[in-house]
Amino acid sequence: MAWGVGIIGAGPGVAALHAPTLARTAGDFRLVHVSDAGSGRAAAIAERFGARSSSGLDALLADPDVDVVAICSPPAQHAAHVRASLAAGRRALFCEKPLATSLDEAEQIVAACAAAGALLVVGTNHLFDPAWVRATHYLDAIDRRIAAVTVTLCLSPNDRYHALVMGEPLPAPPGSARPPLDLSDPAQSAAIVRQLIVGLAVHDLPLVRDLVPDATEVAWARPIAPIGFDLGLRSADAVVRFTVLMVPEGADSLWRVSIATAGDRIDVDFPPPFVHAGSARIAVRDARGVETVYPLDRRDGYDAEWGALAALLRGDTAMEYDELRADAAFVLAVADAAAAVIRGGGAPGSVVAPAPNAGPSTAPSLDQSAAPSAGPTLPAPAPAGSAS
Amino acid sequence: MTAVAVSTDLPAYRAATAELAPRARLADPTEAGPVRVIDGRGAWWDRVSDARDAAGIVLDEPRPASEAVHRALRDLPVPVVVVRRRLRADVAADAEPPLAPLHVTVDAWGPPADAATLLRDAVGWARVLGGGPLEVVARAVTPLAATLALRGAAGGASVTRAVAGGGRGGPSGAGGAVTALALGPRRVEVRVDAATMTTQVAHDDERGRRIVSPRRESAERLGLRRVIEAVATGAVLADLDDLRHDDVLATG
Repeated sequence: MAWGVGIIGAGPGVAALHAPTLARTAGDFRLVHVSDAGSGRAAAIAERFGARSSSGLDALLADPDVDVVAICSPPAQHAAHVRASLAAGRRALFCEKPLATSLDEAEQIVAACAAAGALLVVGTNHLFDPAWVRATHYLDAIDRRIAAVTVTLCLSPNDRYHALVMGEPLPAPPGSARPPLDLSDPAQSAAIVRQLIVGLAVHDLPLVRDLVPDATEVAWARPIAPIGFDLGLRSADAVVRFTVLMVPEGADSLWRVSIATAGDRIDVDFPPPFVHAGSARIAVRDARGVETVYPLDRRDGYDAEWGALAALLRGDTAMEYDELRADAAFVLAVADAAAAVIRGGGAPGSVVAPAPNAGPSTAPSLDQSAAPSAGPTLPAPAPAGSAS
Repeated sequence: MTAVAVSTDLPAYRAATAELAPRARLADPTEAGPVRVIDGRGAWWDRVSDARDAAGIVLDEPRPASEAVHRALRDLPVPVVVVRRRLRADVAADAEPPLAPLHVTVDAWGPPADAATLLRDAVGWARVLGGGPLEVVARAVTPLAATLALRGAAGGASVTRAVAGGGRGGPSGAGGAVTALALGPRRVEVRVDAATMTTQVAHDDERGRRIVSPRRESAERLGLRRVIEAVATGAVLADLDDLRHDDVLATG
């Protein structure tokens, strides 16, 4: 059986990613409906895949062929679109990351889904990457005291990769270009860095939370021109450095998560966005100096996140609402704390943390709500691809 | 050609001297004014101060020193080459970014005994790839790791050092590893791995990746060759200034 998917949203993430990716799900899903907010792009996408199109939500949510609602609208609309889907009786949802742009909204969405018994997968594809799952299994098998986690992104423009998964480009949606950072304007820098954390770092912050859930103190946060940020987090036992840079041209995208433990160093190199080049590449170097490079899995995180939804629909795995809530809370708390540091830091790149051993920290800490969920953890095995 | 006399008891430098013949030879024990090789273990600064009569000095892998120590060594009247195997001068030249990077990241990982030097060399790579001096704007330290936010005239850098050891295999005897990245449209990646005794410099741009040929000259021969050239030409070496910069930032 192929579950019919209705996608709300008609941006590049739909045209270049989710619509064609559904064809990679071994018949589990088929695109039946695409809706937009009036741009007309939904019709262009739907025509390519033999689906119906509409503007607004009503026709899509009333479409009897829609079994799964995929919410791929702009992030600020995710919460409203989840609520509308639930109100329309939909009980299988895929929501593109971020789940929401505020903590309140994230809490409400997850609570509403849990109350309704709705299945919900958030498209944090790196969390579902089979290689990441393998890395977490490896960490579980060793002394996994984490000393440091570093995340480094240097991303080329997305259209380079869109061209590899679409026959013809679609016109860019209006207002899609993000302005460059004005480093002399802390408020603007803070707002853009928050957007970057919520919309881009959300790929990897759930991984960071998985490794060092108590890394809740911001050691520094600063913008990087033309668009990017550099962020330091600290826990009692570990440090986290998270650096993101978007460049207008140049080398193939770099997307790396490195983990240093007491005994091993693990490099996880994710493939560029949008393309289907298999899983991340994992290289482990142990304290004896032995380096092991694992073979790639043919599946990538995009395939696996839809596979996770299929597993939920079949009843093979159980929902873990607490994990969704905690991941969203962590990302939003980091984003808010980093933005606060940049707003309050005066000149970009200024000192934002006290020197070590200088007494109680005055650096902003993440709200306690960002800590891992205190709620019970489900005894059921994690959904396929979920590392949390 | 007159061979430069080299005074050293270190076997690797005696071999390097032989590899530089006829430009270098081992000094007689009583010979005045040779190039002196100074072991960087212990209080190396005392031995450097005592070597002011030397024609030149090669300082081998100095352990981190305080700013006061460095201040006392300013204005030495002889050229000083500092041999840092994780931060060789020839590899640093290979890694020079073709464009000023937008940001630099350096990640280092190694055994506890090497932790301070590892962080110092990681800072050194940030300085090299960043194109100049840096200052610390933030620092976070835990028992097993340290991370620094740095700022230079051209841009920022982030340096992280984690300590290995105590894992399954016990304390690491394999030495450290450093990965340094100059980020921007044209990227540079440097990987220094003590365990495999390899250093790789890769330049990435829209055409692909170019890996620079490995440097095969021994670190000791390179150090001696550089000081001999400085003695001959009167060239001013910045090695001690760079070491001071990196030590001060790392020890903060």
